[in-house]
Amino acid sequence: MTDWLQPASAHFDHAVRAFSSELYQYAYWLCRDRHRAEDILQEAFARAWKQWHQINEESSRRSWLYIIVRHEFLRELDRAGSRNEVSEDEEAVEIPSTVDFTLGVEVRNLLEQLPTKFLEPLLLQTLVGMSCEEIAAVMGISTGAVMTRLTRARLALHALMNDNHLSTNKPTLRLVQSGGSK
Amino acid sequence: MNPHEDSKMRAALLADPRLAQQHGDNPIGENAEMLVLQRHLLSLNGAMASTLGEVPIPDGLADRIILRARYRQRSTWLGGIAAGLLLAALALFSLHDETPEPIGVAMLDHVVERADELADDGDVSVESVTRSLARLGVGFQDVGYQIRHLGECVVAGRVGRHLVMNTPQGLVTFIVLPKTAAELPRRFTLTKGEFQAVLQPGAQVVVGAFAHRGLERARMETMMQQMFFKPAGVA
Repeated sequence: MTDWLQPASAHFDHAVRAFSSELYQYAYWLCRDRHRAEDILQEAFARAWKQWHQINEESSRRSWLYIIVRHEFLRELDRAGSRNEVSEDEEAVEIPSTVDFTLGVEVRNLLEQLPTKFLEPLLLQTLVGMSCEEIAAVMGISTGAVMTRLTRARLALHALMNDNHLSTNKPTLRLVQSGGSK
Repeated sequence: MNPHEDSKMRAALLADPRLAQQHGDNPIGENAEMLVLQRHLLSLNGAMASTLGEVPIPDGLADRIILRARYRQRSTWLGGIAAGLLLAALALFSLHDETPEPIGVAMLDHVVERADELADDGDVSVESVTRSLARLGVGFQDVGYQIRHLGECVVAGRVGRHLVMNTPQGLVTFIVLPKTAAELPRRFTLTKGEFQAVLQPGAQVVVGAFAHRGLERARMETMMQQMFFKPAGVA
């Protein structure tokens, strides 16, 4: 049977098989709870299925699914009354003249300590491989705001590295001194 | 590069260390300090991606998503009537059938939805069926039924085979679908509306026989055993 003759349900099944794993990981890191992550994902796909016919472009579906999962996560936060607005994206970031990413620390520890507002764009960039423009579309903010948030995220990681380095010297990410500006 | 340009480049790298890899003209150029920073940030990216991707995926996640999405959708667009029917169907599952397996429900859904595959394509040769099923690692024994349809079908995101046969007891549909080791550990029976299904697991596939509820299940099982599970050469 040719692809275009297959019913929407077949396309949907394919998309679930293709994207549910990476979307689950995205949902997990948003809420940091496996059961909640699955609930979010199930609800998101249930909503996606209702609107499936609206997205004809196969290439658009992946980003669209990320948007739906994100909205479902935010809806869950709203229900719990625990949503915090992030409004400092457009503010200028002060870049220190020396940024040293060489300290030996456990990456998992860093990521677990990183606030979700910073972890989310980092995840979409490093794990999912999205460009800043694609991340902006998923998060519903400007590309400039995404870049600002990513910069802040890496500076926050840098600060955590320093804090963690003071308390542990586990050398899982051992790099050399990057130096400062001249 | 002056300090101002350095600061701009540092900010750009902190936003996206892949910067120079994405553009043909490397904006970092020969700036050794920036090249080192970029290398460190890319290394950190790799470590983050590896850690972020370590989250284990729950078994059967995709099946559960598909089932929930389908049932939710039906109950929405058909409103209360469909919701009532769904509850009735679930009650039937619980009263007369075993706990429904997601793969089995998806197969039965497929047969109910794809009534067009009951179309009569004429006689399909035994050789075609044998060749097609062999690609799924399944043998086929001809027992003399007219094979009126053979097609590929997509069920639960997998490509299976959809056969429709004229038997002395009436039309019977068979679906042969790849399965994981954990799915359908034993024979299952399901009903939905006027349809019933008998599902039999093989080593790597599940075979389902689907027919009108008037047909004896024992007869459906015998058909499956004879055609799909009988060792070659056994009369």
